[in-house]
Amino acid sequence: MSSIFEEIFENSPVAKILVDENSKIELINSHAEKLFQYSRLELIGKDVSILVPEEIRGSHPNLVRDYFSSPLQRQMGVGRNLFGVKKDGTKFPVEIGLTPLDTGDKLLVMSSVIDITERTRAEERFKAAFDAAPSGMIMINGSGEIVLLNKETEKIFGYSRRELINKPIESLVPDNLHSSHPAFVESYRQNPEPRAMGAGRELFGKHHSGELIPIEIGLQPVYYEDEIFVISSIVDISRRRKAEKEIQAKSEEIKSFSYRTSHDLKSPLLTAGGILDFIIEDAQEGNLDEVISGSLKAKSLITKLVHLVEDILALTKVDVDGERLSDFDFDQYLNDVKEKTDYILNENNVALESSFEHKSNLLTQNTRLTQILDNLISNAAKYSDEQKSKRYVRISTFNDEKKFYIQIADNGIGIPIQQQSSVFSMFQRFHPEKADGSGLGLYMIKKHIDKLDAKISFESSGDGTTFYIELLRKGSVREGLE
Amino acid sequence: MGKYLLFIDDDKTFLYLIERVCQKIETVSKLATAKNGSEAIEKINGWLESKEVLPDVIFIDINMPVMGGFEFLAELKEIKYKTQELDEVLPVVMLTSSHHNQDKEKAFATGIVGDYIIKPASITELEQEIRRAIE
Repeated sequence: MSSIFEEIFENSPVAKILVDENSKIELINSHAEKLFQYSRLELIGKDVSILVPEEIRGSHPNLVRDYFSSPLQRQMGVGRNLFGVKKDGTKFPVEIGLTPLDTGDKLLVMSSVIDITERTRAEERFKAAFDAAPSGMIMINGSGEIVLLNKETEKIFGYSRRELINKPIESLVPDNLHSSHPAFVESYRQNPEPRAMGAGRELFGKHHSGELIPIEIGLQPVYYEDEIFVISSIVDISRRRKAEKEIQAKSEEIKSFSYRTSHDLKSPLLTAGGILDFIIEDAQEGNLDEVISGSLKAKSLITKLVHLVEDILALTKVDVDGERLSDFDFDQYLNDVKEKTDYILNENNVALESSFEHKSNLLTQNTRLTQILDNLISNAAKYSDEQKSKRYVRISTFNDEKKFYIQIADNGIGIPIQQQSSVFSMFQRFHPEKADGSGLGLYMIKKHIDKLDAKISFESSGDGTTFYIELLRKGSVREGLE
Repeated sequence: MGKYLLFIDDDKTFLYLIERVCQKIETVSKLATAKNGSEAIEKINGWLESKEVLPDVIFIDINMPVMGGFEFLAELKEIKYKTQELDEVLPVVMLTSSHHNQDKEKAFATGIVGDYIIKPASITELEQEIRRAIE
């Protein structure tokens, strides 16, 4: 070997090891000594596999022999992670280039070993950060193929990394956009700038299940070795969309509520105003009978208004959360409700009956359940059937392991079939000629039922109506928007 | 000849008020009432069948149970369409407590509503409005 070559070899900033076809180390340079922590005297003449991890030490000589059968300048182990082993046993990631060297009497291979610990660490850090990102991150190459994606992406779309790598980005695009999407990608490549995708439009991604998920996408071009990559950051906005829809429905409800209450509050007031005008007229003319009859009419209008205002106030309380769950005492309730509805039961000649067959207690918000039962029982009394001689409303209970069932059955006039579908909507009055209800009672019941995570259904005909309530025995409360 | 009026309102106290107000209006000769749109349609169909005299003006509220004002207007249009000679008769006046513009616009958009009166709180005003509407 010429001395110039020796000089270059020795002082190279890269660790270099000369190996013969029998895997014996011929020579190493000073950088290799430093890297592997051996002195060259310790290594020269030894098998090079001493520098490779133990698990491949046995097969390494074969690899060396294979190399010598077709010695070309190339990278070692492309696509695999290579490791070197220091004298103290420490394993570290390396990149190795192989160069055949013909010394005249002998063919050798020169391995140039680069310690990539730092680079690997940086890559791992990048990968960890990429993976930890709270949004889905997908990087595509110039051909629109997915080259990188993070955990959140797997979560959003329901695919594993393996299923998506090297696949066209269109795998995640809704079917109706499959054909046009590549043109969008191309136009972005022509005019790459960080921006949001599809401003003003609703964007959807296609989940593994085929379901469409509403998403928001930000685009960021990345340049790497003359190729444009695009990183999309993706946020699943299903929950936000759902909340928006709930708010919208809520606002529609409030609108319709305020429309109807303003009417229902104003109407009787206007009429009462007119009646009072006549009362004054009648009083001036000394027509006492008319004064009395007008006063009674005005009084009844005011009573109706008071009921409406009471119902509206009760309704505003539906949204107030926070009552603790406690055992519901049905016997106590029965006494209370008999007292409360005594007048209306007597007036309509309706008997309140009970049949409590529950074996376990019901844990619930007592105020809500009381409101539900009070309303159903007083409805049953109000809309009783005068044609029937024995009129009743019966409250019965039973339970199984998980559920608690309450039934309120009556033999009243029933709910007209054509209106049964809108029973739980606001301002529904099915028998305006029978009683001056506000039309809010069943609407309020439904809201309470929803709050208790319970279910309500009914059967109704001319023979009577039965409401079925199904509660969780251990109680449950849905807080928040409702 | 006096006018024959039909009032449709679910508030029976308001109908009582109307009765008394109309007693003061010398040009009103006959009064009919219905408690909702559906009852009014039944009455109109009955009058048509027995070829009775029809009301000169119909006054109707908007929010009523069973059949409200707008559903009534749709049914009435249907009747008018079927019996073509009714084209010029049965004009409708909305008499309601709704001050909502969308209700007013919706009423006139039907093409068969001639006037929209918001229920006043005094009988003097109510009298004036009815007089004006039937002139």
